[in-house]
Amino acid sequence: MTARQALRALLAGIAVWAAPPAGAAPAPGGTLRAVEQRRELRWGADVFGGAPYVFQDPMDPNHLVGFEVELADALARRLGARARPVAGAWDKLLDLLARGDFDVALNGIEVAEEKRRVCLLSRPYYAAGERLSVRRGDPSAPRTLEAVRGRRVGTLPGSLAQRILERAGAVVVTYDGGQDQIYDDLRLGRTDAVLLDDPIAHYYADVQPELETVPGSFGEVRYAVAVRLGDEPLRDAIDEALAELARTGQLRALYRRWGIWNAGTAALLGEPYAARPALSEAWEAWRAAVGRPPSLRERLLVRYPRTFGLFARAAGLTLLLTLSSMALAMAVGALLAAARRYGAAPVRWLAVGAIELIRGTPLLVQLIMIYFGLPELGVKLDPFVAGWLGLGLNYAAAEAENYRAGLESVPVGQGEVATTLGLSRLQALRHVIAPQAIRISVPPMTNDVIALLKDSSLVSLVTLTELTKTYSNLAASMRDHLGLGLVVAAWYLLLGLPLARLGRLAERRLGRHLRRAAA
Amino acid sequence: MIRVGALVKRYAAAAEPALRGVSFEVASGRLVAVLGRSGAGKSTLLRCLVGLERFDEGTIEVDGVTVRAGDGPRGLRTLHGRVGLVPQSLDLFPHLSALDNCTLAPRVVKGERRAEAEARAAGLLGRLGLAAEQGAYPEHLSGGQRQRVAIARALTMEPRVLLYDEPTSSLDPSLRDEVRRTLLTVKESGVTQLVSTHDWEFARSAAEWVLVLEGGAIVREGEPGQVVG
Repeated sequence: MTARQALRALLAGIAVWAAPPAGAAPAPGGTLRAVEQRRELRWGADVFGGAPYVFQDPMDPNHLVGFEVELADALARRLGARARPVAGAWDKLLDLLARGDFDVALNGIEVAEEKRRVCLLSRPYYAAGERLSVRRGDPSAPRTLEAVRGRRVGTLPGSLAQRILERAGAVVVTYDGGQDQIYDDLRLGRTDAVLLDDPIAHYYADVQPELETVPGSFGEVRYAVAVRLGDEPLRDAIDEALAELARTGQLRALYRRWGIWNAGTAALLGEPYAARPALSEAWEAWRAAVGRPPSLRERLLVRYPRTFGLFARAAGLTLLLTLSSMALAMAVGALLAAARRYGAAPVRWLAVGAIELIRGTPLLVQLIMIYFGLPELGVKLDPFVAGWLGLGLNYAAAEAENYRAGLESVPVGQGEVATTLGLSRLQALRHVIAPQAIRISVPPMTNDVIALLKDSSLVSLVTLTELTKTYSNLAASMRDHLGLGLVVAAWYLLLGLPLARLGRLAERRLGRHLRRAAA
Repeated sequence: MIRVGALVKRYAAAAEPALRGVSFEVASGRLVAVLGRSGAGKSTLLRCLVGLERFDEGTIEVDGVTVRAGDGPRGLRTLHGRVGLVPQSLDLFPHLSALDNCTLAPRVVKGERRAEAEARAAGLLGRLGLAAEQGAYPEHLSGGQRQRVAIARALTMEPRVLLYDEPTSSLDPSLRDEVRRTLLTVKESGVTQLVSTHDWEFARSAAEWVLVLEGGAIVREGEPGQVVG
């Protein structure tokens, strides 16, 4: 196969994958029709540190729990479907919704005017007060809105709490990570207070004896289900279902079970309110699981073994993504290197331009452009394909330079002698130049595979739950960053060490002509 | 048989042409030295003869095949395989054993079967005294052995003409005689040989005819005894 044929085949392959994945595009009858037909409601949420909304059960992380999990189940049942959660970063949920990665976003999405430009919102299903948490016994802790001026206060980005704090003149610290990190920073003295929605404060501040929550609310936020623009039938169906759940008391029961029943929500649903239930089963279970670090024995014998399935699946995805991306990087890299070394001037400039462009911009930017940018041009890639393409093309630039260095390490005379012997350029490349060049390129390639293995963690952006994402989810829900960190490190080594060994073997084999023993 | 007519070669970057009207003839089976200082144009002449370099004026004829000035890669390709080269740097393929260095081109270019190519290559290596070194990689051979592998590698394509670029320059002076004997061995097979060298002593002892190249032109030619010394 000539280089041109190979390139054409590659482009054709990309074009095939570039076709929208079946089922992701809105069906002719709108998303409601699609949900009814496939009997499945795909709902987007961030499981990263999302108690009591959506989170992995700390006692058994194979289960996704939370009041919104139960709400999604109840809504789906009303629509005659089963609920299937799709993981995405919280601040990207509306983008992912617009892309069509799921039917609805249901994860503490605040009712706010500016959101109506990008999505439709259902009637609110919950009202939460904004609660201020501080270190217990901290005499200088800010306990009023006036007192937060100039103080460091943590919260979630893009939230009502952030806007309240900014108006009050606080130094706002926002987090991309989970809510546990926000309260950890408060506990460790990196911030002076945390302002967040009542359920979060209840599940993260109230379980820690070192923290206390100031009485009273600093504002109220309402949550609604987000639906794609133009999907009015689905929004109406969800409104109807929510009204029915409220009327039958199912919502109240659900919130009481989770210990988050409050006056605001009671008013919202038109129900009487006495007081927050003294204790709730779900909250007690959560506190028991995360309030006190489990013993090493319990971690090793009970908790970590339960993460095996999740980590194994994630490791499989990580490995598959790494190997397939590296294959793409090698193929495209070889083409770029050949174009750069042997091409006519315009081809050479194109290759150099492509290499510099890819190499000079962050992988994260490229992934965002591929996943969220290309749909603007009508190219909507499946998450795996987007991740594969992003990683593969990014590393292709590195590989191209790698192979160029290899090609240039072979003396020009070698190619010339091959020519005088009658070999064509391609034959000389294949039998004389490439075998020598590859030997030079293998050590940096091994390095790149390992780097790619680690960089594959960036694809959590495109909703793929690989090893690192699995770790951060688990660490947040089990509140065990150190121990699980060692566990995930072991998984990475398990994948990386054989790859490194393979590289060394290849190096040895390709360099056997340099060893005395071979003579 | 080699017939070179009024050969002119200019390099883009150079003010003076590297070859300025070189003409000579070498009869089949002869062993001829091209003598000259470095920079006289010896290497350029060899590169033109072997088809690695286009030239600006003149003709090169090798056993009935003629290449003219301005001929592109297709024209030059007619010389490949027909004219063999033993470069000064030898350029053995380091990742291949001595035997594989010699079988690569017959197998890839002529499509010979491995066994057939190996038998022929082994025969050539044996004649050049390398029977025991067939399996060795170039890295593990002496300078003289490497040179003979390079010669064998060129001979596997059965060229009518074999060119040597400074065959004694990278060798210990005591090996000069070994090179001479090798050339005489090759001569037995009837191959026309052209040896570029700045080594007058070697030219006198090995060659049947000497061309003296100076400033890109042939200034003298004749039998070694007449031209040299």
